[in-house]
Amino acid sequence: MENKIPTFLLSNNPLLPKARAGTSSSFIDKGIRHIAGFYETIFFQWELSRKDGLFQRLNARTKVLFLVFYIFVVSVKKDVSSEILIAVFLLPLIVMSRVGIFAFYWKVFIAGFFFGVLAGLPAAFNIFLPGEPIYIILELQRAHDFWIYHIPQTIGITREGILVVSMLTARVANSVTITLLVICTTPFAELVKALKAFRVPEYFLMIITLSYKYAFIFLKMMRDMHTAKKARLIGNADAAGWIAGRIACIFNKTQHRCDELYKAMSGRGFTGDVKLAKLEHVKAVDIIAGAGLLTLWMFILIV
Amino acid sequence: MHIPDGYLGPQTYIPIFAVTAAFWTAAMRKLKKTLSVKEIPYLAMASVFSFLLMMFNIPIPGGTTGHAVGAAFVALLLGPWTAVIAISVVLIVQALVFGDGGVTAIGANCFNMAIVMPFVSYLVFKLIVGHSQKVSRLSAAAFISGYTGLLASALATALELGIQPIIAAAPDGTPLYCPYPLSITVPAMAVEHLFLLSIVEGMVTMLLLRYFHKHDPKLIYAIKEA
Repeated sequence: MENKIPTFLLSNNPLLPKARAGTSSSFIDKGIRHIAGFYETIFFQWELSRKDGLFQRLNARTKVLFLVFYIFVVSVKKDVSSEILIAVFLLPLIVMSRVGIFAFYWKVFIAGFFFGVLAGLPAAFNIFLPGEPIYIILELQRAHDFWIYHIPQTIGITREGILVVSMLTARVANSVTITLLVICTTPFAELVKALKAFRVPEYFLMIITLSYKYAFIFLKMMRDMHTAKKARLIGNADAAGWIAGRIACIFNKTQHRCDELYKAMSGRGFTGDVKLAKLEHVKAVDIIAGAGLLTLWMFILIV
Repeated sequence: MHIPDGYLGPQTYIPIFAVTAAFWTAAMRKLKKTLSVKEIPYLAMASVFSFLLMMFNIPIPGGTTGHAVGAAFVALLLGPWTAVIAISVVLIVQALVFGDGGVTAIGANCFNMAIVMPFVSYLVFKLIVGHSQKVSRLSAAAFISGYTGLLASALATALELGIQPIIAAAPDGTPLYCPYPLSITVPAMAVEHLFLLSIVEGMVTMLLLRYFHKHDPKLIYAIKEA
């Protein structure tokens, strides 16, 4: 089907600053894209938390307890088979929560790959972690010692190293799965309210809520400033000077916004006493789900 | 710098969380006494400011990225106890909304970036500035305070990760959590922070302090205290 987008929007604008050869874009552009990713993440989570799934029906307090207990059990398990068992238990919970299984596990895979496989990979070699090589990569003429470092004569991947990397990857993946399951099925405001039940001071929670809400305003402001700059300047004219000026400008605007916010708050009767909205009553479904998850947790802990 | 889940054992993350919680309690008590009602939104704004700074990742040779934290500047502008709360809020939101930094590592991440960094930065600044009001001295002090603050924070992170093979290993010596010893974690963290990220943090701290010193010096807590 033919699109109706005007041709001038489809062609490259010669006035826009071009990325230098060899680089895709500046870190400022990447930062701005990161900001766009912030909105995307929040919108995605908000959409998922409105679906009619198992975890969406649960009280936020039950989910926070689930998060704390299960993350703890993942961190105390010392073998890969236990981590696989936990992953298997989590799978039906994810399916029943209708969070989009492929997109969900893609995120888990990315986190597991970067923080587990990539970050742990050097440990698979006997240069970083002593062990008997099972797959030899390089044979040197002799071993080398440099200060506190030792390079063995035979460099290779060890059995111990593979176990360490597998364990790290499995633990990272399970922790991310649990965290994502909770944050994708719970609106942020509910999550903060649930923390109130765990004796987190309301003053602290109010600052968290204010920060979260104002992050949207300031991120938009930052993005608008960058777009305005791109529309007016050709090339990378004094990038450092611009950044310094914008940082100060953002803080200055922060100050003004803060005064306005205080006036709005005091105008609505704020005197310094923080009172968050009351927590929802615990329903039968929460008690049943809580008991089920706790039993499962104890089983995993013991096994 | 954000430690993910799985890298710290409970032997580390539980005690560090307890220490961090003690700091949070002390900071909240102090703020309730010293901070006026009008300044509460300001505290949230300081958090957002740090959040914004952390979104701009600077490429580091080797393929990774890093970012300024803004904790040193918040400590100088609003005081170290205020910075404890402001930066902790950012780190908690990042962990709970974006999965940046692990849930089990919230205590450790807050300890490194919201406690070690503001206090080191503030103390270094006070030590260098003394009672002087000269712009050049203030600028130098601000740069060095940001630089040393982030470096101290990176070293604290390296220490927490590097002690894992010592305190949490299987009977055969295989590490159960972060597999790298101190001889790897300390140089790895130190190099990128010594030569790049701490310089960025120092520059951000210095530029902002100069701006505020020029336009509204009464706002700067570290100078008011002098």
